Amino acid sequence: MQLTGPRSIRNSLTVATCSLLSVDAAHAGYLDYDSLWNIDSAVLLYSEQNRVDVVEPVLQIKKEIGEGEFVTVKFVYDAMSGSTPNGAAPASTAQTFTSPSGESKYTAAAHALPLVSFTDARAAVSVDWELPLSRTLRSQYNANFSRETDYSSLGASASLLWDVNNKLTTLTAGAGASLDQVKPTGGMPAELSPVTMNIAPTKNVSARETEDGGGGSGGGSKSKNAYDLLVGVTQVLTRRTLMQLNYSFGKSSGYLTDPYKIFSVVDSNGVTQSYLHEKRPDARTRNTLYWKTVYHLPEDVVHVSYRYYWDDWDIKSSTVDLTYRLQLGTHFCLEPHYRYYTQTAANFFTHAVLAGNVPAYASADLRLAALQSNTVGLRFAHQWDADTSWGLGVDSMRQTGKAHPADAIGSLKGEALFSDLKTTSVTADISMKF
Amino acid sequence: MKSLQLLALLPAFFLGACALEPLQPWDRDLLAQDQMQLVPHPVNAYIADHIYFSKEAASGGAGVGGGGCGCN
Repeated sequence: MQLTGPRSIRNSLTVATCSLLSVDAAHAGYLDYDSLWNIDSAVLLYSEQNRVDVVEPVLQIKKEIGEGEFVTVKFVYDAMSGSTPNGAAPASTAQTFTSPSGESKYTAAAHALPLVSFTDARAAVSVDWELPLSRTLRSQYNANFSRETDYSSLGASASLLWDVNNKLTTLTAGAGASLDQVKPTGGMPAELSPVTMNIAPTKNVSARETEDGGGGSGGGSKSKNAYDLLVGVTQVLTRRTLMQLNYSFGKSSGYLTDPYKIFSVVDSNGVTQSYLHEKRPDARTRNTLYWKTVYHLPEDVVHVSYRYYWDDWDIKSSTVDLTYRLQLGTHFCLEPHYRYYTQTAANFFTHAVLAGNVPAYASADLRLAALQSNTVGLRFAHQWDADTSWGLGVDSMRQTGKAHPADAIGSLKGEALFSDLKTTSVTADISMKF
Repeated sequence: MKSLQLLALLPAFFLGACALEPLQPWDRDLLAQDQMQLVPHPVNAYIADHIYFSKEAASGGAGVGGGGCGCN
């Protein structure tokens, strides 16, 4: 357009302004928030080598119900089956155990880490509500409930997010609590009691507790409560850089023992004499420092985080997580992922206990041992159109620990007390807006 | 002790960030992208966290809330 004078400029501006104002609201999708539903769904296929298989579908529905006000509902279902270490140490001879239900026996071969078979299913639902309180203050509320055959959990949390410093800084404070109930299959075993070796109906009921009016085999439950407090700051450092730092403090109390885990009692030669049900302290205080940075390169995006965790069970842990989003044109991306995790052992962790020297607390759960995990993954994602995207990711994790610790007793020095764990996760996800 | 000193420096780092030039709304284009969110794929993150929770002794840090599970 050729400008011929002040009148032409005024006319051009008038036309441009009218054109902008005449945009149909139906085409300005960002104004039409009431009509948007966000559906995020994913299915996990998880497999451990010679251990557990899990199928986990997740459906999340999010809707903006007012300006800046969102409600999110999430449904989760887990179907689990396979075998998991029962806690007993490998031995030079085959070992026979009674299943947790007390209805059958199973045998671990000589020198093999004893594994117990199980199947379970879990259903969970959670509701999140994000509510703006003012131009700079937002609140977030969450309620969740989950149920599985032998465990139920009810939790709630609330967070306040305060934008300051021209919305370059967000200060966060949050609190959450959960009330869990443990009701093990086969009844509640007394902590540090001998493991019964008779199958039902002649199993040794006297060796099991009947808590909370449980009344005999198959009954009994115990509760486990936890609360968490969190303070954090999220900072926009540059146009391309976002950084977050959180500190959280939490406390768990009640029945923190795993009712299915046992440990071996051995003589000074390392020969198994008996098995006892494990016992953990009834309180645990947890601390976490969490740092995350997101950085936008010219095309790609990097997510990097570090977490330091410590608790009064003497577990200290570091986690580094790195994801690189490699943009491939407009519609495709690849996300390579690496995660390193390490932890020290709980102060009551043991592979086996010397007969006559049973401590106040003992657990042979390998998840409480000193261990390291390395996870590598790759996710491919495709933006189908403006409102639909899907992705497919594969992650492989290898967990390693010390198979031959120096403090192993007698012949246990020759057994592999920590068996490496290899897992594969395949996750397919789809996101839609309509 | 050294890590505590480093920890003490972090608030100073964030306070220093307050002196940065304010970003104008038109400078927030990249920050508004989905992939620049702290948790760009919440459902995938939930699934991954659930796996790690079931296999490790440490958990949490990114936020409060979430569901309980008898897997650990």
